[in-house]
Amino acid sequence: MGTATGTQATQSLFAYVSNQNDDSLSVLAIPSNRTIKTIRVGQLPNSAVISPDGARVYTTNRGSNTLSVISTSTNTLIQTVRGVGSEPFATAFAPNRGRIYVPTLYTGSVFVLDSVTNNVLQEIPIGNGLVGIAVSPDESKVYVTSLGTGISIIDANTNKVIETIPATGSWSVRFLPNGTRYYVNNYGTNLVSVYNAGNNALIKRIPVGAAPLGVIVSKNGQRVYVTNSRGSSVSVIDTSTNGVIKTIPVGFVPFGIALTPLNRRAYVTNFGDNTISIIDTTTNSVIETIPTGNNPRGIAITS
Amino acid sequence: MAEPKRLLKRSVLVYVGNQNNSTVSVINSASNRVIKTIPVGKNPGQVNASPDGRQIYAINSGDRSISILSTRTNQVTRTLRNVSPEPFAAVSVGNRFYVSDLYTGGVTVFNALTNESIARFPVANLPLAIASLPDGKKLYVTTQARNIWIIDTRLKRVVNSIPTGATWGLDFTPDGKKFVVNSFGTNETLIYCVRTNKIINSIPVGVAPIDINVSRDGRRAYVTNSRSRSVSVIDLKSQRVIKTIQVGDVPYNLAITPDDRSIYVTNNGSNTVSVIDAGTLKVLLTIPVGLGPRGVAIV
Repeated sequence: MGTATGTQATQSLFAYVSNQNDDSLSVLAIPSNRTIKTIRVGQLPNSAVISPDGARVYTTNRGSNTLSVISTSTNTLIQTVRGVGSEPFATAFAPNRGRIYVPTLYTGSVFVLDSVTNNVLQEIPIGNGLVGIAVSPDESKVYVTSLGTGISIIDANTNKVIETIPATGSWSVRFLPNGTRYYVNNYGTNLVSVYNAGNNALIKRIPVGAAPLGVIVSKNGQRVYVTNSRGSSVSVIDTSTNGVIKTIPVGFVPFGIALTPLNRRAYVTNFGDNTISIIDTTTNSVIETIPTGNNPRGIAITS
Repeated sequence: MAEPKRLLKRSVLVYVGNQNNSTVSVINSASNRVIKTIPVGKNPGQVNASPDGRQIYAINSGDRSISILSTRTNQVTRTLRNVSPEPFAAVSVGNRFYVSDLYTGGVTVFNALTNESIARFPVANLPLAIASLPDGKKLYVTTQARNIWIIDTRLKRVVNSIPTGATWGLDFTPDGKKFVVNSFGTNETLIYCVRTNKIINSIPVGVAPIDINVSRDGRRAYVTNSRSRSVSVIDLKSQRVIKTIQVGDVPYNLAITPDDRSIYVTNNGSNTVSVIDAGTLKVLLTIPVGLGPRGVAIV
């Protein structure tokens, strides 16, 4: 079936939101921002990520120690992945390698999955309290953040840790699209640390709001957005100066954040008040607040 | 004929919070069997006993609530709702109980007689464990991030902090002069002087230590090493690990019986509780419980 005349590209966008306390994934149509479907997933879904080909959404479910795999064409649960340790926490993809990486909080390992079958291929022991993960844009390395062990860098060819960068508790890590730098939030010290990806040297520490948790980089590489969970705000960083250009008040306990494909809107899950704040990224202000399920946490937007 | 030794041992009840199937298992220490499984709120994490042993508080991380259980009837007598976005740990002090929230970083104070929330105050980013000085005047809060934060229970605010990295379980010696705390990132247990807030010693333990409990006689501390399937036994006089005991997968919390003779350890990854004999320092038996056991309290 063809799309109706006058349909904008943005009308085929969807946001997937994991409602931690409902054990569900909500599908929101953008720009109407209406929930068109709510899908039952595993217990306590703490992250939601869309596969690079756009075909699937993966939730990590820290309450049932599983991953739920949802088809974006049917919006139905198609697979439940087990054997990923105690409290899987995030998901990252290396599409050219056909691999998915899942850090697990209490097991302290990264589980390597085949991205077609979702079978667990390998468990890489890393460190204590793993929470965040990112694959470098060239897919040569996998970066893992932790509560206790700093930032561990895995060689994606050998699946071995090649370096560990000392860092106080760090939650998320995200690369610039050109792979030259990465941004890590230190949730204990209320900072975002900027690293040179070539030599892993610290370039700058940027003060942000209290207890930063979520980080996202715009696809043009110009902006980094950080959710300040205890500051009820989002910090906007200009990557040319690495300075905060705006702090935007949002809801209570902002957690996850996702951008629409042209970077026009940022969607922020407010874990504490069961809403999503929608930010206009040109004015850097909230233009709409919409209700969600209970304790919205992970969010991903189709491209 | 029954062994006289066994008759001397007072039977106690052990309450275990099963995070992943939303129940509390009740174990009778005489038989070491689960005598009841009680449905509670969603995804209970910690369980705490009131000082008089009459009530158990199950902190339900998945629906913002606390289930209050009567230890006489082993039934839920009340559910406190809308506590905070993700309640995580709790401590009972006299007629108050304090519940920390993981992501708001605050503590809610309840009147234990009326179960009404009477105050709420901010503490720090990502608090994990909360422990009370024996005299109840101060609470110590550990976090996933940095520092141990000291709260004055009368002023209801943070009055001091001790610089540290990520720490988890914390407990005091019975005389209130020292505390022990697990340095989660460095695989050590640290011993501090309460008066000076200075480190007395750091003791290497297993990998990713979570919980720690000091025996009532003050002689030992037991530590769960979440990533090495073991419990470290520390002799507090020599300040050394005297034994490392293999238990189940992802040992999480532990509790010591009032007579200091047995230690109950929840194995979060293998859905069991290991019972350790404090005399032989061996696992007596392993008891299947619910899914994802975490908190454990003994009355």
